[in-house]
Amino acid sequence: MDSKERQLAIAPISTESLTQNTKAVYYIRSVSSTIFGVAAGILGLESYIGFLFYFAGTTYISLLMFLVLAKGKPSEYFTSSSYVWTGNAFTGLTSFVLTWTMFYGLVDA
Amino acid sequence: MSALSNIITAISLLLLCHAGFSAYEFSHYLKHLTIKSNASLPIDIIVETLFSISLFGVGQVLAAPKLQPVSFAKWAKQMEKDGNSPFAYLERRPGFANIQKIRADYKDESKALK
Repeated sequence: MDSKERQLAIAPISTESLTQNTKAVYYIRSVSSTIFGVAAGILGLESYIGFLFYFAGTTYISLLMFLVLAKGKPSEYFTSSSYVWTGNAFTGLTSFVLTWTMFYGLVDA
Repeated sequence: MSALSNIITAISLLLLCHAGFSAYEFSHYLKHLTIKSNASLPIDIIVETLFSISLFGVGQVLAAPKLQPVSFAKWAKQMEKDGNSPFAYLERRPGFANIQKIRADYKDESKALK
């Protein structure tokens, strides 16, 4: 029995709340990255700057989740306290690129 | 909380639509009036876009369901306070069943069916 297993035996985690919290983070990340793509297209960003915009937006959303959703204590709501910052950080990238390219073309008259 | 977040999200999407329309109009003028060939987007459209997406983020985070504590002890305590304890089945037990009465009822019912 290694130390992590022993820790789980002493303080068991609730899988139900873990799934619910992960789902909430996933939903916010995918919806917000779609909207960030729309904004990047409207601003007419190109190449690396667009991807930088995505990461800036993701960091902003992470900060909001850290402050509002987890109330500054992410270790109480997730097994790893960095989940709010890095978890699902790339799930929205494909939808970001989709709406980015679409709105880039739409805005150009 | 949810009404507030809905209002915030609606305002942000409206602003984003307006910014997109403005950007479209701007590029339209550039092409058809040929004032300046490679002018960048006006600052007010940029500010409106950035403001609308930051507002959208706030709306989405406010709309999210409340996070549950991951520690089982804290979670169970909270569920018990809300009235749906995961151990509710251990706190209730049925009374003694009256076998005689159940048998009599069964007899009556089967007679009525015949």
